[in-house]
Amino acid sequence: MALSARNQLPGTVKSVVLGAVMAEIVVEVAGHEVVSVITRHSAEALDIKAGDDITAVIKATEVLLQK
Amino acid sequence: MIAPPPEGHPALRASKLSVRRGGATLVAVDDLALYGGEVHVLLGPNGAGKSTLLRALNGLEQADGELVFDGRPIRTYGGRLALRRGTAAVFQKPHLLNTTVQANVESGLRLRGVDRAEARQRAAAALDLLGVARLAARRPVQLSGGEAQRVSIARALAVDPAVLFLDEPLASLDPPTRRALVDDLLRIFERSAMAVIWVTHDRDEALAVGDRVSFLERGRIVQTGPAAHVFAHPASTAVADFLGLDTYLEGVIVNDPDGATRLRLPSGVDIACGEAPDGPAAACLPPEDVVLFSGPPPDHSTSLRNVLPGMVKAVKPSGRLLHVVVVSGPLEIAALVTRAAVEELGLTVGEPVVAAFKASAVHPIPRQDRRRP
Repeated sequence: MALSARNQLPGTVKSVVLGAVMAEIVVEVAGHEVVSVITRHSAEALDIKAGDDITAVIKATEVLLQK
Repeated sequence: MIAPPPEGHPALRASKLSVRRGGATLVAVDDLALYGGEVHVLLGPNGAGKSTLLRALNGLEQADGELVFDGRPIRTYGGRLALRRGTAAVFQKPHLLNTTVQANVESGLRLRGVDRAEARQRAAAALDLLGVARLAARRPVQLSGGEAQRVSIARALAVDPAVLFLDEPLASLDPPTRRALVDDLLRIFERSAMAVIWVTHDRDEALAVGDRVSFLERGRIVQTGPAAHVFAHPASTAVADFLGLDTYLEGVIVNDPDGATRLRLPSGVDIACGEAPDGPAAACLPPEDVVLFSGPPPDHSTSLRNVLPGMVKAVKPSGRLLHVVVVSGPLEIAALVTRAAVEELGLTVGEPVVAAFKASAVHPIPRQDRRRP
């Protein structure tokens, strides 16, 4: 199974904050933090918790650059 | 299926209507019919001639062709007067007179010869309808932009027009004010028999308010139809480009007790989506938010709530990216991906593929079923 998204960053879950509908997950990738907001459903279905190995996936069209 | 136009004779019909200025044709419309009880949106890019057409329809712009108002051709001064008396207009700017709000709303009635006592009563009722009765004694300088526009709309509604012309009525307002006013206007239109023609260049606004949409390009109507049909089946690439290459979804919002929101499509497919109240809704799914898998991802391996298996229908260039159309049952889903991704996944027409997107990529816009029997 291949995925069209160009950026697949392996990291570790640093924190999980569950809201009523959404969940905020902070992933540590090579010393940097990547924040993901997903539905609470997804967070629970994937059973995401601090310390888990996880991949942050970002489409190339979604990456902003600043110089 | 294209829904037939409403039954009965139109409140206002324009045939072979054209506006020329300095040798240039600004607007040329073969046929446009506005029906009572319906919101007809004139949608198109800036400079397409929407406002010029609106002014030609309400007699403010010199035009060739025929206008028929309430079954009577407008050819004489008396006819134009009947058109002006039987209609009302609201513009992007409220254009209030420097007097009290109450006097502003009474002014249209007084001009039409309504006596003072009745004008007072009808103005108060109109201000109440727009939720601004408490502002009756204020002057325009004491109003916010949203309040002033509500007063301007109250002034138009007070005369009980057969046709209401709205020219970008929300364009000067901030988003929360705009949303509140849209809700109130739809509630008012739902109970009214007037024909509303609403000019906008904002596709979300068109989708939220329009029963029918006419798309205007370089002064000509290139497509007319029920709003959902125009969005789902743009007649030309110009219309599709303006509306965006988005996937259009229409269905009914269902909120689960556990807080999840789904858009249930007529095919029975449920799409996890952003928050919205229960009821009919439509949504556009931006193609840049869709990812493609070459095979189904294992269960519970991704946070994406929407995972739809299908087949590649088309791959076309879109700037430096590729626009991939995936057919999944009755749905067509567009994805914008890089050329490298298309090569790596071997995406060619007819190949199986899985389209996936986050629930938060789907922003439902409530659509009230406003059509009366």
